[in-house]
Amino acid sequence: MARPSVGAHTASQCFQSPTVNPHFSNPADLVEALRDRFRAELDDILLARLQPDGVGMRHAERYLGHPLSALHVSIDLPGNALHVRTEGTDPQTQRVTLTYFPAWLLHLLLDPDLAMLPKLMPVDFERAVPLRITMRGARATREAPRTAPTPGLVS
Amino acid sequence: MSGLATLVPPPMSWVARPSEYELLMRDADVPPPRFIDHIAVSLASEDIELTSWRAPALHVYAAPGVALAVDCPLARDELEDMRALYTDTVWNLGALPDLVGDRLALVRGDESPACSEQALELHLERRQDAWELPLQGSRPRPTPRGDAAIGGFATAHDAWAGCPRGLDLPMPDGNELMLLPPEAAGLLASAPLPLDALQAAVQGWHAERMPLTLRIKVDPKSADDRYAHCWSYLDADGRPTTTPPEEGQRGPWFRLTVVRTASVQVGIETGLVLKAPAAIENVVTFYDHVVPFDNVPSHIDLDHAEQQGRSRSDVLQPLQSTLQRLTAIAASAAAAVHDDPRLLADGLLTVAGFVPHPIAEVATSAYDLYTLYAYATTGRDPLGRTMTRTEAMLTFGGLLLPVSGAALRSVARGVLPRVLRPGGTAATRLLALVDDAALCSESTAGALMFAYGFGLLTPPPAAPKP
Repeated sequence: MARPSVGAHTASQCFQSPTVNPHFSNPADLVEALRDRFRAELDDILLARLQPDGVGMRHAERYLGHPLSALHVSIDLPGNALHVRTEGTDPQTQRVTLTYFPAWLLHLLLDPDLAMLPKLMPVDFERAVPLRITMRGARATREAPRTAPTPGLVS
Repeated sequence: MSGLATLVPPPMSWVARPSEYELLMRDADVPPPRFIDHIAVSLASEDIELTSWRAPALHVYAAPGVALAVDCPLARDELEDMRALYTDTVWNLGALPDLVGDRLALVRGDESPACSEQALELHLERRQDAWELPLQGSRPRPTPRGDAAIGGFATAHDAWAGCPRGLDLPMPDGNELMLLPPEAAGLLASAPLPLDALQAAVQGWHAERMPLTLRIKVDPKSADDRYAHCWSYLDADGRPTTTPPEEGQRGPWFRLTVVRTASVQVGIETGLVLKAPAAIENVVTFYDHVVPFDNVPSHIDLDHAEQQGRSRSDVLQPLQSTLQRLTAIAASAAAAVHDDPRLLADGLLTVAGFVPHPIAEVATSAYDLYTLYAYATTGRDPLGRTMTRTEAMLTFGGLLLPVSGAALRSVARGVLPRVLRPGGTAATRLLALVDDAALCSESTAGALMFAYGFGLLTPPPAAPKP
């Protein structure tokens, strides 16, 4: 089945309401630019929303993949999304990129239909920002000889 | 050695916890719903219920040699603009933003109240042994505490028996070693706790009488920091041992050995005091060995110093001198201001707002009025930053205009459209601003004062028909 694409929604659908406050010159351009920048992540997040691989038992989060797979997406019920991509198969040299999107940003980028927006703003709105964490093995750690035997191993 | 020696664990790991909810308040007449019902209930229902969604958490663990980087994928201007867009659309849907950041959410209409936290709790942790990293995707666990038996804390009574004791605490950015000489241990073992004596001991700044905190500190994001450490007690002959010393034993009671790269910091936590406590060498002997990254062993013996043939111990310095701390604070402030010079103006205006002098009050009120005028005409604050309606509301509220809600709304809906050009952006913003202000306002006079002040209303009220 074809993956849903973010480009199917056009930015003009964002601004149907007549009382939207047009501060900036063209907010539609900004939303389109961000959609292009995060196109891969947003496609994966849409897929996790619509066709999750698994659903959490207690808090109803939706998963795509599992934490050890190359692609893992986790969306919790308020809509926050964590997108994890692992490049490389060797754990010593792999590169892991974790991207976090707060729900308010996802609602702007993915839900041009204003009826889907959440009813209330988050209480920590000023601190809720998207984050990108990158991990990569920069130096190989060649084990220096141990001067004490490892407890538990029988040599 | 058998084939087990060739196993190499992955040097990085992460553990995520999704947002978790908690039911805070519900209608007493309605029984608490089961979880599946609760999801439907909390999202689209008219029951009185308050659900709080805790922010999701992400723990990132790394062994030495792994580079970590954290940044925001949006530029600051883009983030400001997206925030403004979001507050506008949420307000247009009829929901009130949380102006004071309280956990209780205000609602308008018949929507079910649910508040959520969306700022990711990010924990970066560096462990020196790759075998100690939690399994990726497992449950998040707190940083493990030190081995209680080696520290002598086999029971709570032993901990405070009055003999010298040490405790090694792993931290997300290194290790913390807490050492108690006999006098400090005796004070802590007394009941009730003699706070005055403890305070006098710390203020005396003599190492043999106060609790000491040694710190090995790495940069959790750096790939070049690596160390191995070993701490132990000393017996009566000065040899390292794992047995805690007896009462009455003299001389240094502890030893700390650290083999590290040059970028790792080791020292005493002194706060803002300039120098280390007196007679530190009578309490702990310290051996420091700086080696290249690849030569740092994974474990070192208790008698590592004797193995290396070290005869002279090193001096323990304060971890970070007062000058370094103040320089770091000044540098971060300077970097923030260099990044956005308007922060300096913000800071000065905030300080001026607290000055009780009438000139300062008039000046800040005039600046607030000008801010509202700038927002109404351009959508930005006087310094050029995009302003959200929340900020405009707060500025308006800060002017403390006593305005009646109903009166202001009638003024806004009935009078302003006839004065301003309908459909224009300034009119839209002003209408929205006045309507929003009506939610927090009290009397009629202020409404008229606001309208007159902006030159929007000129008497008589008999306005031409649209």
